[in-house]
Amino acid sequence: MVMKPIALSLLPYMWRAWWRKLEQRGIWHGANTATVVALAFAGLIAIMVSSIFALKSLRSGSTAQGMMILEFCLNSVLMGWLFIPIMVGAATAEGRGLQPVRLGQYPLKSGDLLAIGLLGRLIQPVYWILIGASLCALLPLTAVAQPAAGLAAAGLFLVFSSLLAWSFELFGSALLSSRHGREMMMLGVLLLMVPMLLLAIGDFALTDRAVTFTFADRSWLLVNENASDGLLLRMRVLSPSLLVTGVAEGSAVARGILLLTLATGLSAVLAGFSLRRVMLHPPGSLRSRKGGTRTIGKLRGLPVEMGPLVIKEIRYLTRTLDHLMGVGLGLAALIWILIRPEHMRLVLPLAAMYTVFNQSAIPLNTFGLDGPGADRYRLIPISGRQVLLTKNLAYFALVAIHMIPLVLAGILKGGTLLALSTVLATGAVCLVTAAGGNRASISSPAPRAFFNFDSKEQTGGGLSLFLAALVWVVPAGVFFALVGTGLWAVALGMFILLIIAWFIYWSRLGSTGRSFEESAETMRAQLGRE
Amino acid sequence: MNIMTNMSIEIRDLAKTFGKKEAVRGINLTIPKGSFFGFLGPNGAGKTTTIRMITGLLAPTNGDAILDGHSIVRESLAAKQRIGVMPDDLALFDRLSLWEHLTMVGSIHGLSRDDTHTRAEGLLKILGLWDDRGAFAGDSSHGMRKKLALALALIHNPSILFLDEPFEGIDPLAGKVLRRLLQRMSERGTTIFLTSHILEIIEKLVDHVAIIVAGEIALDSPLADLAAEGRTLEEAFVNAAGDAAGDSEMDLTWL
Repeated sequence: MVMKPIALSLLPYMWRAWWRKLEQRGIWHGANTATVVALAFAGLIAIMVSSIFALKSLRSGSTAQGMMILEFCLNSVLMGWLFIPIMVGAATAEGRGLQPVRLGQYPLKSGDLLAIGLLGRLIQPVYWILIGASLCALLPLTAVAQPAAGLAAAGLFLVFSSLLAWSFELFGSALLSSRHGREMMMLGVLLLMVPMLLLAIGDFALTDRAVTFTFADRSWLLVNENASDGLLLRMRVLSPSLLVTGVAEGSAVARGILLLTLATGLSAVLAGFSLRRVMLHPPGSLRSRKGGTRTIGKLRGLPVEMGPLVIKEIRYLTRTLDHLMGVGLGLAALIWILIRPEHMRLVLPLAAMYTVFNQSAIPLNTFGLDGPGADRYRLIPISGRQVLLTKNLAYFALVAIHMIPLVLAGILKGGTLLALSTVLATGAVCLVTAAGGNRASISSPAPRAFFNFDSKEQTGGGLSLFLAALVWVVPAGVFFALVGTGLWAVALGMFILLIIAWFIYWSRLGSTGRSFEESAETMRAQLGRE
Repeated sequence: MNIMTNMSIEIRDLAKTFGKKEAVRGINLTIPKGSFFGFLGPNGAGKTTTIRMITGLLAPTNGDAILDGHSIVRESLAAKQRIGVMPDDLALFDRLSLWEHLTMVGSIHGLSRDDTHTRAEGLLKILGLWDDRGAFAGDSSHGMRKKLALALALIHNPSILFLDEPFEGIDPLAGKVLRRLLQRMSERGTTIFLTSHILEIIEKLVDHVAIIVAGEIALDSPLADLAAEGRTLEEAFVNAAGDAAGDSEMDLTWL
């Protein structure tokens, strides 16, 4: 009797565990997934159209153009595999179905665990879209010189992409599970500033097939397709998508297949190693920092019970990746404004928008971020309104931390009015986002993960709230700018909007606070299921 | 490689460090086959870390555990085939029913469908979960989840059973059933490694105790030896762990 692989035996359980979890969470909790699925679907359509175009080009004899589009499709597929799952939030949660990390006590071979993990991912709709997009990208290969070899190479490419993507997530998860890893991650975020800095201090010129960088009257040729000895060009030859197109064209078939097989094998080993690492080195608990009580004592002007809660919220929120990313990109924007002030009109509002968007999931999160902690709030002798206010004050403080350097840079570079308008608009958006977020945090409470990008499903919700708030701020700004005389009118308009937003926020705070007091049992039940 | 030994569990220089914190400091223990072993210690002493390392749920920084002759570090698959584990976090899947958990774990252990169903039914009935077999683990009470985790540890009839705080959070009736079940398994030769804070239960069940304090073994003795010395388990525990609080609560004059 042939034994069925254990991963296949467990497939029905994986499906049930995942599907029921989705059902349980409902549409609001699935907002993040829904947003990403929608984005992935748009990508699928784009790849489908591109593939048809590539196929037509190849059939009409425009081989170079067809191959270029095919390469683009394959690269898009690789990018999709690498980044869409991270957007879904699988990076540290490792899926929501039958997580291999919970099977550690059973006698399962590494290969079985790998297969369980992989299958557990592939049952999710976002992966169906990725698979669909991957298959669409294969379409032009039916019209190449070596279709069979090309399809074989593309098959290897797809397995390589999916395994690499999973390794990437698992590696990220392992990285985030240690303090050292998190510090490295922070360094990585700061390093993101380097290209931004380069953009700010010099000029990139993209000509036909070359990229030139100019700074202080000197130019450097970064990429040149005609130069056979260029490092970047040589590296590009090893790009997996180029290997596939090479095989499909009939040039270097054996070499291409061999390299793709090696890459696939390596990515499988990397995924296995990363999975084992994640399973055997689970994240340690985070300890509170010393010195908090000293800071708490300094937060005057608030009722005595609220000060410590606001400080605690800020302390928790600064341990999220959203915050770290906000700091990194905020600094990049700051440098940009300082070096290229002529770009300020674009950079300052965009950076402010990013900052608010980046933190827009915060108001949706439950109190104290840790689910069971919500109960603790009920034992503290403050009203529901005050509880919500503590959370919102922490949110406003965090946005302010990100905004202050940008605003200062704006003022220093002669953009006082623009900076003022941006601050007023940011304040208005924050207030509306908080007003809506407070309600959502009670109706669909979700704890937030430390050193993760956001709570389990809240990005989509945060995004919708933020967009809803933005939808009325931007047209209002435009309206005031048109009827008035430029930035003064915008600033005035934003000030009026801020007052309206404050009224909305303050009036809702009381009623939402009462709802918080009345919904103890519902919230407890919802958080208990997390 | 099977290491021939009469010992069911051999823990050799087992250590775990988290950052700068040494949670477990190179402990050594040998537990004979069929032994009912109680592993005690104050909160944060390293009990759970030790049990997680022995069962392959956590990689040790140093050392090894040999289970029925198989190293958990080098031959984890062979070692895990012989053990049943009820971990501290229970490791359940919220949206699978109790019945689905058992059938799934049965198939992981390679049991036939009929065997799995017979055993699952028997376990669920004896643990009082039969009527709730269709309930999801995530919607079940803590006690029910605990009993389910125990059933999962037992379904393949392991030769060594690791139970982390099995009596915490379950009702007295279930506790009685569990005690009888464990006694029966011990009599039939299963080695049981158990952690608990309930000294009265430990005293009734186990034949050998070890007490871990600050990551080190402070006491390793047959229970009969303690009795021969005229010491109760509580006295031995307080003596080994040190009564940190002592009479200092008397200083709380404001309370």
